[in-house]
Amino acid sequence: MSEDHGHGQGHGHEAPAHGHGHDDHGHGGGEHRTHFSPAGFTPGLAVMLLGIVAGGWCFSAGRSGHLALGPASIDLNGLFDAPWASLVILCLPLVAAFVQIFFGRKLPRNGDWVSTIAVGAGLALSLMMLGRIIGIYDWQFERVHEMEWISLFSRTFPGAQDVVTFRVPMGILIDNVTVIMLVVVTLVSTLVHIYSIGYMADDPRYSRFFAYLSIFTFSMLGLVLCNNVFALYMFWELVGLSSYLLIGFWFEKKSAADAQKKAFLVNRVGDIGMFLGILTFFLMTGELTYKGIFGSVANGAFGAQMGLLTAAGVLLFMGAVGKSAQFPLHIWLPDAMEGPTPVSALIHAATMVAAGVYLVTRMYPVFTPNALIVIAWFGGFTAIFAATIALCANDIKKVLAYSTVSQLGYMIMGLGAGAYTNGFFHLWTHAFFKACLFLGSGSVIHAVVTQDMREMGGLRRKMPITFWTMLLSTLAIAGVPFTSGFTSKDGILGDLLFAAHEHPALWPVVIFAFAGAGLTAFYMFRLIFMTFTGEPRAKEKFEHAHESPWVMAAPLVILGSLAILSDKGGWFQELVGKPESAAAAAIAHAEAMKPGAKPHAEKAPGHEGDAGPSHAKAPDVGSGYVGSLPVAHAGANPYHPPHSEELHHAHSAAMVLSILVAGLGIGLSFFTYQKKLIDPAKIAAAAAPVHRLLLNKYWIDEFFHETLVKPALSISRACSRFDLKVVDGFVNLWGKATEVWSWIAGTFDQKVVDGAVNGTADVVMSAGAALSRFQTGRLKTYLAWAVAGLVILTGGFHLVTHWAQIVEHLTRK
Amino acid sequence: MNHILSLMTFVPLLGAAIIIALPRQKHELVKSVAACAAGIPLFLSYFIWKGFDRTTAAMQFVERFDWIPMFHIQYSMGIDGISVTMVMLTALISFICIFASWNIEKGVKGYFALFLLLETGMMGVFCAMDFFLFYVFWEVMLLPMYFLIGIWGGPRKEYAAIKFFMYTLVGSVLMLVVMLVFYFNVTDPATHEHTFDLLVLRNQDANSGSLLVNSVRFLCFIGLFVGFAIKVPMFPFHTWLPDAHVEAPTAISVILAGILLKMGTYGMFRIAFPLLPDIANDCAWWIGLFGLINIVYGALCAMAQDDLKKLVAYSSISHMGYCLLGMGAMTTAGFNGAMLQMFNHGTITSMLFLLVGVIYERVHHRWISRFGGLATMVPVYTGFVTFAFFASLGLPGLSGFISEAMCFIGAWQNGTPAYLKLTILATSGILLGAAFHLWALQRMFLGEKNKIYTEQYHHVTEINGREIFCLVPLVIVILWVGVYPGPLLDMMNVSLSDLQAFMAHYKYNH
Repeated sequence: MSEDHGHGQGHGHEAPAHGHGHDDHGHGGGEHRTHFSPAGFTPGLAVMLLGIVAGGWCFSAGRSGHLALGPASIDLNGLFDAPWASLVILCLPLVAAFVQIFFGRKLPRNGDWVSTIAVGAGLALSLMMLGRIIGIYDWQFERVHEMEWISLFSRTFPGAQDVVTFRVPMGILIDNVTVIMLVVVTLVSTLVHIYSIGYMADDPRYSRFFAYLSIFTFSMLGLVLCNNVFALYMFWELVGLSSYLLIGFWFEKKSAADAQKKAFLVNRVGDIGMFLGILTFFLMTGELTYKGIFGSVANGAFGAQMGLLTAAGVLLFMGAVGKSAQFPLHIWLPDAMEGPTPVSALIHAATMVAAGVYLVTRMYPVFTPNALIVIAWFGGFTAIFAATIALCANDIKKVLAYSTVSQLGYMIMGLGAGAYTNGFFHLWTHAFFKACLFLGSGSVIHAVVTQDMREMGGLRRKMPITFWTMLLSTLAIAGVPFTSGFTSKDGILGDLLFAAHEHPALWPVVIFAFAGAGLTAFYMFRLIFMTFTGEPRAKEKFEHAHESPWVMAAPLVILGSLAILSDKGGWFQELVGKPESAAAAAIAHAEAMKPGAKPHAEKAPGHEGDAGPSHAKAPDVGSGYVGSLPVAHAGANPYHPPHSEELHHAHSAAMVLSILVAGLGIGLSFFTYQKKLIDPAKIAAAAAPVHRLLLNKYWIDEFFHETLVKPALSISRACSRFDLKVVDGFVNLWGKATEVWSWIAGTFDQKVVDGAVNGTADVVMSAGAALSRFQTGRLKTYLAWAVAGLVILTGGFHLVTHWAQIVEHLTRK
Repeated sequence: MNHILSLMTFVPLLGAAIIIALPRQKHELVKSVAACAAGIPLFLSYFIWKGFDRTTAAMQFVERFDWIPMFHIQYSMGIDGISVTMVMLTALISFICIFASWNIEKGVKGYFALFLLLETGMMGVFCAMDFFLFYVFWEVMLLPMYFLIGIWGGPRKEYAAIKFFMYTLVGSVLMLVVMLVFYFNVTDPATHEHTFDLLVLRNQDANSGSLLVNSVRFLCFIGLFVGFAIKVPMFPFHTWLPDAHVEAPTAISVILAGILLKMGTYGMFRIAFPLLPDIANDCAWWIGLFGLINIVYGALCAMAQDDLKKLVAYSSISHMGYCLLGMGAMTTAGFNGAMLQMFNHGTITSMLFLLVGVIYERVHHRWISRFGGLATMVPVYTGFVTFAFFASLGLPGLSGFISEAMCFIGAWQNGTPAYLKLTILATSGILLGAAFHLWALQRMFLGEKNKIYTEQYHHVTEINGREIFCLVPLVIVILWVGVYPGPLLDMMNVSLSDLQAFMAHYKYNH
């Protein structure tokens, strides 16, 4: 039964050529391939429980600020005062990756424990940190540790005092957002490591898989921890590399190799934008650290060029469009499902794709109101766009992939609409329930050896743990009350509704968002019904199905519980507060700089008339929209203004509406796929063009292929031909011409000049003959050459001397 | 250690002399002598690394005495931040190439003697402070290269060798003419004699009486620039490169791409820019434009290649474009980026050519489309290629990224709208570079084995110890510079910022 994991066979993909379950590939013993029974109490389960206890212990130790080790007690109050803890978290996976790459196959169990322990230790430390920040309970908590990495100086004139003009610091920034991201990354990563022990057990490149996972974890942690945009960009690309390596883990399949290339290249498109954005900020502010950029922007580094500030923000956001798979660069993420399912859960659902959201969160202060509206539009459109595609997908992983795209759209949209806390909150809750869904789908694929939901059905009885955990997560993603997903999504929708009151440009986004919520509920329950309930549609596959071993089931249980619990406690909203907007300050600066403005900011209301309408509006937008949009659930968080009446109304309305659309979606799904009262085939036939459009994913891939890939390839071929025929052809023509000319000259030389020379040559020859009695014949040739050379050189000098005189003559003129 | 530069330059020549004296059959002995002769400069470069003063822009390790007093030609050697990394790079790459040539069977004596002569020429070019001496070394380097391609090369070796020779000679002639113009028009203020001393020629404020008129200065700059651009190679003078690379034996390709190309950009930094700073400033945008063309055009051409070696050759053209872009920016970050890119390209492209040589030695062809699925057969080799490709496409953490990013940052700092446009367009190189590398990687290593050309797979064997020995030092350098470029940048920064300030001075006082 464990011979096959069914990597995409349901899709008609060939299984990797090397096959699975080969015992001759250097696995260290068959020990780790033992399948644990989900029913019994096994060592694997014991370790899991121990892990949960240990995690809780770390968390509470962090909370209290004391780590009790028997009689000794370590004071954790200084946990953030030195960078060591973060560096340990960061470097352990890197060390593990090196160990795996060089010694992986020589270690017992192929070294899976090296990577798992490395990331597990990171998780322990991260939980301790989380406990500590909850213990500290300061929403503005922040520590920075920094060193010089590159520092170049310039001089104003040669030999003058050096001035540092280009400085790239490397450092660690720890604040609440960082710690929350650390927990997300290490927690999901640890669970995925454990899950992979079961899922990847029979893969011939088992140790390599863990090496890549470790590289990824390292890069992602670096992305989260660093304190400047340059380092952010570096780790940004490194997670891209890990994604590349892991998508193409089964590179024997052409589809996998295509997908990995596509993922890297599409991401690079976004990265170019991001790079230009970074360059723009650097050019204007001279800073690369987050804090430096914010401070500089707030102090008016952009002067009156608010358009440029908006553009720089949008360019920066392009990175997020690529990494977080927003329209139109979303095309790589569904293809990325070619990678092993644990990878999809870790990288392409919970962590890496959320990096774009993290980027927007991190750089939030520099986005101008206009930039934020652009961001909200990108997110909102993506949210509904991807949800519609997910309606018709039959591949279980593709449904989840489009749902990820859609949910990322929600986060981005939320951030764009000013829902800073809730947008980031959705990242947190989504990480758990989506990882659970992916790992659950992996469990299903593992059991039935297909990814096609049309060949599933009725699996609830065979796989109860998988079913219940997936159901919990589905409830969360659908936005059913009392789940984590409800809280975060509802928060976004409420904030969005509120923002739309101020900004009519956001009304379409509101419609996208609520419609998308309904669609999400529909297609997610469609997945549940098609997979787990009803009658099995492929009998043989159903017969072989089985619940997964505990190494795979236990992570599901933990993540499934988190799908319900991760929003509880209310600490998140207290610890994540919207930072002060540097862009608003910049806009105020720009206003003050305008010729019409009085030098001292108090403007008389009557002054507005002669400065034009934009004059009065801009600062209003800046302060009212970016700066002071209240954040839901604001409590002790001192920056949050008190709840306003409108915000409260917006949230109540959003809650009612979102429960309604979710219920509608679930109900429709229930009647269609469970009760079969509605026949989906009939609807598809009735709306055939729409159905075709959705099945073909709006032909976006084809569009890019025709408009970008194909032209690029033909241009490249044209360039190559041009190079060969025209540029080189010209060179060769020149060569030919020289040859012809030299033939003419040679003939002339032979017939005319040589006649005169021959006489001279006779004399030389006889002298040479005399010499050759002492020397070899070859030397004579050399000698002749040397003489000729001397003649040419002297002649040349002579000529040049005269030429220089001519030049001098010209100079005089 | 007063003569460390002379030692580094002439020990290989001594080695060449010894090799000529050795008996013809003793291949191993010849190779060992060559290894020693190339090893000594590498060993000495450690002392340069230790002893180099990173706080001054002045020439260091200077040696100077009259060579041909009649024409005021001096034997003057010295290095500053512009040349020091190139000297160390030359020592490293040359040493590695001796081992990469270990399988040479034909004309062993001649090959290694010429190779060492080549190293002397290259070292000399980077150390010479006298224009005439520079020129002499430049020519010394040309001759062995011609024979190494022409005798030990591939099927079209004669064509490639002559093309290379003629092209370089055109550049030399242009340089010679300009050199003589300067010689006859500039006098050393200290001695009131004509001079070839590059430092004196640069110091034009002091001899403004002998400055040339602008039109002549412009012609001189074009002469120098084209002379060096041929070497870079800059579009449209680049077509010698793919031919020379494809035909040259592996080690010579490595030298060609790793070091010879750098002489073009080095010459610009050392001679064209400081001697004619005002004209260089006027032409800055054009330099950037050609940089842009190189980046995009090189990458596009590379994408269309089916010959792996040609692909790497065109990728070199693309990468050297970043140098031009950074140089044209006339900013400190741009200069440093260009200089670092020269060093990094030297290591990365060397690795690429060595790796091409590895597969060529086994299957005797380089057609990308005939491969496929190599990753399962030769995982270690695949690992090295993947590493080199990713370094070449500018993955952060590896050296190529730092220098490319700095070139862009420098170009961006230039600040003029015209240059910003160039830079924005040039960023497409990031994407194109990734595209052709990854595509080639996929076609050769991923997917399934080629179903038509199955015979070749019998010859595909894993990379051997000698080849790994050649590659590992480069891997280390690439990683080290990628992770912590500070020490290397410190070496070049002072000289380059001094040069930048010098250039800026002439921009505003022009």
